[in-house]
Amino acid sequence: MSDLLELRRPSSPLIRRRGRASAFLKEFGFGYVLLAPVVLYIVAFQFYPLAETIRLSLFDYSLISGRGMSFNGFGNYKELLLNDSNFWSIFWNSLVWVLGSTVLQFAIAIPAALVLFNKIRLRGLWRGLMMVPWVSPVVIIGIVWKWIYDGHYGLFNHYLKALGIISENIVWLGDEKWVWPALLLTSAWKGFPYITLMMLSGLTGISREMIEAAHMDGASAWQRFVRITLPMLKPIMYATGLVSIVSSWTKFEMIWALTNGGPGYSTSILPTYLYTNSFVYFDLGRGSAIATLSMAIVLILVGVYARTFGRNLE
Amino acid sequence: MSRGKKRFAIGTALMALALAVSGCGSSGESGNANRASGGSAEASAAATGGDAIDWSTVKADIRFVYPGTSEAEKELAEQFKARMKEKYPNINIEYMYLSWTDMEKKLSVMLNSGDVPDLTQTQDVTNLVRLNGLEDLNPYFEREGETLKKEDFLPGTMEYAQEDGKLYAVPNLANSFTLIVNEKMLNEAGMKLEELQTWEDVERAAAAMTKDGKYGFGYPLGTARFAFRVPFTAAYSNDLLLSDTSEGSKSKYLETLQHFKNLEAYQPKAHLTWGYPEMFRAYSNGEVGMIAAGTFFTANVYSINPDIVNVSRTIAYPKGPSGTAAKAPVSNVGIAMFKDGKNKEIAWRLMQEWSSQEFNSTMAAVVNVTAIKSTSLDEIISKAEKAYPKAIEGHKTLLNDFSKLLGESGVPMDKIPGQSEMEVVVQEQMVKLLTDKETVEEAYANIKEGIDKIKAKLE
Repeated sequence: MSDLLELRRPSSPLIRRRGRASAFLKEFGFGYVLLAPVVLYIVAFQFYPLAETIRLSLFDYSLISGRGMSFNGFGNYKELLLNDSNFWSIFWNSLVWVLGSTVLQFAIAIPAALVLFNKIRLRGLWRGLMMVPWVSPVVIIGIVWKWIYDGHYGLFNHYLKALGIISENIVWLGDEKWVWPALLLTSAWKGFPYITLMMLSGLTGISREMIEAAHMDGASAWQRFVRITLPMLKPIMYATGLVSIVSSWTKFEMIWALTNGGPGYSTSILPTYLYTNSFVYFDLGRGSAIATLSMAIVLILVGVYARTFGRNLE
Repeated sequence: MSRGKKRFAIGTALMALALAVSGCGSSGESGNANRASGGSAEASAAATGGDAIDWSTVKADIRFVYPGTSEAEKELAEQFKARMKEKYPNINIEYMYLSWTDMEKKLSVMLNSGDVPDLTQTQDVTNLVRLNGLEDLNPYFEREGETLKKEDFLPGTMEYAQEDGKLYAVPNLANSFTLIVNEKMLNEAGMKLEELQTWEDVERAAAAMTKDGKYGFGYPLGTARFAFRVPFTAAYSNDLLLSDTSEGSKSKYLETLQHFKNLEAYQPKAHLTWGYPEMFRAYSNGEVGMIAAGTFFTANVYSINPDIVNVSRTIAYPKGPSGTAAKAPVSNVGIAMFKDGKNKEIAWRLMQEWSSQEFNSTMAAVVNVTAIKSTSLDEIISKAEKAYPKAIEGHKTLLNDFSKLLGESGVPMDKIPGQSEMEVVVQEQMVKLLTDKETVEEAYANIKEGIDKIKAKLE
C-alpha cells in the first residue's frame, strides 16, 4: 500500500527534470539529430579553423625561417598596420574591388532584369544565356578575359582599333590607368547574372495592379520605376548586395587568374595578399594576421552596409 | 608540443587559411593512396640496398608530384608509369601534374597536414628542406651494391641539390638559364651570333631586330617568378647575384637595371603582362628575336611552332660591363623523396629507375641536357628524333649549343632563401623602371630596401 502511495505522490525535482528532458527529447530530439551533422561540420570546419587562425596570428611562425614558432602578441598586426608599406594600398584595392564590383553588377543587373521581365520574344532563351557567365568556372573566365585583354593579340584591342576608337594597342592589365576598370568589368560580367536573377524574382513579386494604377494616374515610366519598382525591390536589393559584398571580398581567383595580384602588389586585394604570405612565402603567422584583419574589415563593411541600407525595409 | 599535435595544429591552420582564401576546395588528385605493402620492404632493404626484396610481390600506390606540364614531358611520365607497371606489376604510380609555380604551395600544405606524397621532381630544394620535407639521400647512395653512384653525375649538378652536406635529390637534368636567339632574325638584321659578346651587343641586336612590328627582346614581366629570372640570368654575366644589395655590388646592380631600361624600347608593350607562355608564343611566332630562357626551350616552343627550333641558337647571356665573362647559371632538375613518405624503399627504387639510361636519355631528349655522365648522347639524339621529328636538326644544334656553353660558361646557380618574396619586389620595381615611373637609382634603392627587409626577416 505504502509503495503505491509513494508512486502516486508528486514526483521529486530530479524526476520532474528527467520527465521534462524526456518530453523535450521526444518532441525535438529527432530535429536535433538531423541538425547535428551540420552543426558538427560548422564547428569543425568553420569555428575551429577560425579560432586557430586567430591564435596563429599571435605567433611569429614562418615555415622557412628555421626559427620555429614563438609567441609574438600583436606583433604581426603592428607590423602590418604600421610598417608594411603594401598593406594600406592593398586595403584600398580591396575596397575598390568590392564596392566597384557590387555597384557595377547592380548597374548592369537592374536594366537587364527589367528587360528580361518584359514579354520579349524567346525570353526563356535570353534568361538562360544570361546565366552563362555566372555558371562558368572563375578561373576559365579569368583566362578567357586575360586573352581578351592581351596587349598584343587581344580581341578588345582588335575591335576597338577596327572601330577607330583607339589607334594603338592598350596593355589593359599592365596599365595603371586601365587595370582596375578592366578587372571590375570582368568581375561585373561574371557576377551580374546572379543579381539579375534575384531582381527578376523581386519583380515577379511586385503587384501589377499597383503599377497599372500609377500608370492610370499619369505616372511616367521613369516615375513608375523610381517611385514604385525600386522601392519595392529594396529588400531584395539589400540582401543581394550583402551577398555580393561578401562574395566579392573573397573572389580571389579572378584577380589571381588575370594579374596574379601584380605587378608587385598593385592589384592585390587582402585575400591575394593572405594567399601570397601564407602559401608562397610560408609565413603563417603573418598570413593568419591578414586573414583575421580581413575578416574584421568585412564584418565592419557589412555592419556599415546594414546600418545604411538595412533600415525601413518593410 | 608533441610532433603529432604540432602537425595537426599546423595542418588545421593551413586548412583554415585555405578556407579563408577560397572556401573549401576539393583536391581530387590527393586522394587516398592505398598503401598496401612496402612497409615490409623497408626494413630488410635498408641493409642490402634493396636486393633482398622480391619486387614482383611488393605492392604500393606511389604518388609522384610531377611539374612537367608540356605535352612531351607528360608523355615521358606516362611512358615511365607504363614501364614500371610492366616491371613491378603491383606498384601503381599516380601523378600529380602541377606547374613548378604551384608545386611548392601544394607540397607545403601536403607536408604539414601529414598527407605526404612519395616522389617529387625538384629544382631548388631550399624551401622543401626548410619545410623539413625531403629525405637525405646520402645513406642510400652509400649502401653497398647500389647502382647509382655520386660520381655518375656532372660536376655542379649534385651541389645544387645539397644543403649542409646532405643530398636531397638525384639530379637528372642540368638546367641552365641562357639567352635564346632567333638566328635568322639576327642575320636579317645584319648581325651574326658570334657578335653577341657584351650587353651592348645585345642592345644593338635588339635595336636592329626591332622593325616592321617585330621586336628584338621579350622580357616577361607579368609573373614575378620570370620578372626576377631574366635579370637574375643576365646579372650572372655581370658578376652579380640579384639578391646581393651590398654597397660593393651597387654599381653592378645599377648597370643591370640600366641594361633592361635600354632594352625596353625594343620590346612589345604587352611584355608587361607576359608570363612564360606568352613570351614563348611571341618568340615562336617570330615576333621577338631574343628571350632569356633555358634548357627547357624546345619542349615549350615545339607545340606552338616547330620551325622556330630550326632557327634558334642559345648562348650564355653575354658579358656585362663589370663582368669577367659570359656566364650561364646551372641548376638541376632532380627527383626526390620525402622524409615522412611511407614507401621510401620503393621510392628509392623508382628514383633509380627514373635515373636509368633508359629514362634519363628520354628526359634529356625532351628537356635537353642530362646530368648523368653515362647517358649516351647518341641515344638522346635518337629519342629526340621521335620527340621532335619536325625540328630535329635545330634541336641537335641546340643540344650542341647547350653542351658547349655548359662546359665553357656554366657556373653553379645560387640558391636564395626568400627568393619568392624578392621576386615580387624586383617585379614591382622593374615595372616602375621600365614604364618611366622611377629612375634607375630609385629602382635600385627600392629593390635594396625590399630585399634587405626580407633578408632581415629570415635571419
